Amino acid sequence: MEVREIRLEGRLGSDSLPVWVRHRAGLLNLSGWLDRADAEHARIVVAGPGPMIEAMEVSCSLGPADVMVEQISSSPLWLDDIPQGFSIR
Amino acid sequence: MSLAYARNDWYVIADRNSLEQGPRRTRLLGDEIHVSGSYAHPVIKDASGRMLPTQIKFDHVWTTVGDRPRPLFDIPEGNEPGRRLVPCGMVRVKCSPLRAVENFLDIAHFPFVHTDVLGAEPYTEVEPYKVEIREQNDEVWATKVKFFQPLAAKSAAGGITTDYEYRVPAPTTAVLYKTCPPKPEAQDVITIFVQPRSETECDVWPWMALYDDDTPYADLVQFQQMIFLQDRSILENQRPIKLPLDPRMEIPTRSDLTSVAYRRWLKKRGAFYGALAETL
Repeated sequence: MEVREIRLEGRLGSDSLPVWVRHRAGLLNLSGWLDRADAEHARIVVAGPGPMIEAMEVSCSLGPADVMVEQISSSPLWLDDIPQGFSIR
Repeated sequence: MSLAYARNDWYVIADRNSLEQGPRRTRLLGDEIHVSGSYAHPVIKDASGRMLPTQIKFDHVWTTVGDRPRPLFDIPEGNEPGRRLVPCGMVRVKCSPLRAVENFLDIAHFPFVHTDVLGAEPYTEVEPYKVEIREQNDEVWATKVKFFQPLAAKSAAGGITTDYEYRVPAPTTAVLYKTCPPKPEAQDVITIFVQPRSETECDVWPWMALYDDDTPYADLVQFQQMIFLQDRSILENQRPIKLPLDPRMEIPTRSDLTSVAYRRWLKKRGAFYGALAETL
């Protein structure tokens, strides 16, 4: 089990982003949450098997059709409690 | 779809051989066009009789239907002395022109579709490689790609680990640079120029610039045609027919980074002709 933080920058203002991220996390059996600071920055925390997290990062670099991800980066994260389910914050 | 964007790109619509067979009708971006004349002086007209601009480049005839066409990219290796330039005819595929390009960029399918030629089990793993959108010329590049191939080219004597680089200079063109078996310090160039007949049908015109003076021309063409015919059965059965810009129905992985970068690049340009741009 790994936990990683994925940071996105770009044109992220569409309402489709939270729905899309939650759907994708469910498909990959990942838990965690999405924080969207503003229309240009978002942070996704995901917990699960490494290859599934890697697939999440690859998917997020494209994102939903009406979102343009300009930059993506990720780093490991250490949490005291592994999140259950996937939430939008 | 974004027809307005697509209209201002240049497309291959003939080669020398097809022109020598006399006038013919073909389709470009959903409309009929008429091709006649000679290879040196091709005459291209749209359905209303309007003359379309032409240029001869990379052993093919190019045209555009736009009012403000973007410049046609260059492939400088085509001018290098010692290379053999090989136009490979045309393969018609009932698929999105963008899917044809994306398939060309995909390495992971080699062992399963081009078995014992471009790939073989158990050598199925795609090692990490680098993908970038080069801002300087606004092109997609994948570099440091390595893959074991039983028969990498007609000139190969046996299995080798092949170094690949991919370049996408226009939405319907992909260029592959790969290890040249008889001249390891150089790279062969294999290109597909995709003529979008419509959003769901295309003509693929492969072209190569090789260091290979020995293999007969017919064998080189036959080798490429065999590869593309193997791809065609896969391409014509992909659903949705258009290339989705939203990966919701797929689970892309690290080996798909070139495809993902290509789709991001299309999205950024608004090059949606042949793409499914809606969120699924």
